Amino acid sequence: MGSQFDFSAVVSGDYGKLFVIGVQYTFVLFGLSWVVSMSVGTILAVLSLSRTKVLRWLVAVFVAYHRNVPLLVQLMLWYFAIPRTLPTSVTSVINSWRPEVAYAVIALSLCCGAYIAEDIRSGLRAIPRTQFEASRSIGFSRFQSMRWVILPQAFRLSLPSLINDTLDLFKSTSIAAVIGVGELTYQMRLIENETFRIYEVFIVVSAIYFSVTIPFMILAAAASRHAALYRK
Amino acid sequence: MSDAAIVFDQVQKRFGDFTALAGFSERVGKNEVIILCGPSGSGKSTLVRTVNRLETLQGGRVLVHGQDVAEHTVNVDVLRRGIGFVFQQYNLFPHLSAIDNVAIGLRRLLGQPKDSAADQALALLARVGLKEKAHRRPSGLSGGEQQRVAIARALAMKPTILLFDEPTSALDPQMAGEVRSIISSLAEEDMTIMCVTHDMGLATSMADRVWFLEGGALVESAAASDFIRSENPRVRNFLSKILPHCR
Amino acid sequence: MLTIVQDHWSFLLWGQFPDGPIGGLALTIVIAVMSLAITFPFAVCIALARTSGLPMLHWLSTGYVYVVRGLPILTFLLWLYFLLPLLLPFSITPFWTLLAAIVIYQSAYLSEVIRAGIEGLPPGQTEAARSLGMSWFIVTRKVVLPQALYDVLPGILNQFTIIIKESSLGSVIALNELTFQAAQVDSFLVTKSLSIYCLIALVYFMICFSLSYLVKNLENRIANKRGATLTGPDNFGFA
Repeated sequence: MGSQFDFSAVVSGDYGKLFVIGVQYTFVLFGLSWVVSMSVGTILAVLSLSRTKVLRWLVAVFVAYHRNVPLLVQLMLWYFAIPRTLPTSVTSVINSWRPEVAYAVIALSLCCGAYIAEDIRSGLRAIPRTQFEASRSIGFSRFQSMRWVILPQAFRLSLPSLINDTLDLFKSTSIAAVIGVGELTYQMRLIENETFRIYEVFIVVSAIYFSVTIPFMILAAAASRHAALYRK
Repeated sequence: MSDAAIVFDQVQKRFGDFTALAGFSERVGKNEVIILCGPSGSGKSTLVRTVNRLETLQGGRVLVHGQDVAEHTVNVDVLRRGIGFVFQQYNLFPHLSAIDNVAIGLRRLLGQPKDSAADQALALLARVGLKEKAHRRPSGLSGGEQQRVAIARALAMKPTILLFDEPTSALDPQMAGEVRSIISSLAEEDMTIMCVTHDMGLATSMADRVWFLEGGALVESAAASDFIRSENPRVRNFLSKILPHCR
Repeated sequence: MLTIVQDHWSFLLWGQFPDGPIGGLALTIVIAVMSLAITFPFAVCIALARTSGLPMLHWLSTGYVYVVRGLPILTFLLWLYFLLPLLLPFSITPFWTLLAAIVIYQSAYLSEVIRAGIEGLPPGQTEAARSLGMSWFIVTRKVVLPQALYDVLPGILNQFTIIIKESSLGSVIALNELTFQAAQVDSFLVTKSLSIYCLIALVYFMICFSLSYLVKNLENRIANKRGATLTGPDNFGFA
């Protein structure tokens, strides 16, 4: 280990490239998983209002599973176990791309989707039934009422927790390192192993994470203050 | 039958053990203005809510322009476009400005472009005297103003039937006055109106007929001027409670 | 799945204990309980510092919470795994590394839960106590904390389930807790991956789900008593 701080030793040349690759993977994981988890969460939240008991029960089981099992175990299940049960026609398609990225996105999206479903559901529950009546009276169908009147309000009400869960999703992308996705934490371990400059590497990696997470935290704090005012 | 806008035929509605409507039958002519009153629990709000199928029936039929509203072939969403509904608690969409509350149906149901929807919405808001406050959120409007926006919203789809469920009873007297004059002016137009209210000022100024309900059945149906002089003891008892001076 | 349970139950439940080091589910629970016990006093101190009204303490503690919440725990754990052997004159086991990571990380999260409880108390409570002439220390110990901690009991328990789930990260630094043992069995049996991972998912699920059920009941009971619910920020980091 070097006796003095030397950032150039870890950010220049090949190591610098590894950081760039790490950032790219982190953002690919984050971006894809965020889009999928928002969709999954919204659909589940709406389904949880369904009149069909079986459907509500299925949503509840899905949410409970993803909230009560460690994400690492969920990821291992997706990466190590489930491909063995899939037909080879499916796995060969996944393997022709980057299987570890694909399974990481699936695991992250479903887990975060379960949390987002709960956020939106609590937003939906806070909206009075009369809003639904009012929009039906104008002539909106059930679906249109959801789309134009109810969901926009639910998103606004659940904004603080949506931001928090988005932040958690961003941080959770690091867990994909365990199955070999070359994201930021994975590269950190790699560069540390080769350079032994653990302080420099950690400071660089932290700075990159902070540049995303700190704005999110400030945003979340502002949103919850705003929500507190909105409810008064 | 042909000139009736709304026909109630043996309409029955129960909520658990409570009977809201006990085989109610009556008809509302085209462009007729009906005021409904009666003690709470008499079924008057429920009756109005059956017209645009906010309530489903346990028996009987409701016909709007000769069509059974519960019929499977009837598209209830299209039916509701032709029926404006104004609630006691306004029920504006809190995430939208006044003008967007009025324009949302034009934009999303009729697919009108943003500009023309906004122009129409603004014209409707001008009609209820709220042009200057078009871009405020409901939370920035008084109760009376919110109710006027709600009326503009109900008018946006150019309905032929307007339903009011106690439109002025959540308002203080001055605000109620503003809303009352707007509703009365609507009664002058080619519009079938059913309005649940205890506001006898509203009744005498616009009603063709006043229906008095009790226990889910029609007790009296009369012209407004006759109604307040009714000899029916149940009507007298009711009126003595809402109009202390006519004891 | 049943044959796996029959053949490997003791390995998954408590590792080689008593012939060797304790592991498996037993170790997972030891880690979780010890983490919470060590975290708790730190979290209380940070929460008090944030609500103290002293600028210096407030900014220090707020900065700590933001920094910790800004990093993934896995990143932090892996860094500690490299760092601690260099800093400490004696060798450190993965067990203490994981414990250190969870304590540092969770003291920030748990402090947020407790802070919500302190800030949720009506201001009249402290004012009344202070006007009786009680010192800040007495007011905090006798009036503020007993009420605030009672109110956020569900939040604290909720954090406990999160710690249980986070302890699975020990497998990444070769700590023989439940997830690691499962991976061992998996590589030993080779073809039984689905059964083995479903089995431990089920174990985690049963523990955490019953705890969340308890939390919900407790929440209702406390809400009935106090007329308010406070669970603090709902986070799922490595849920």
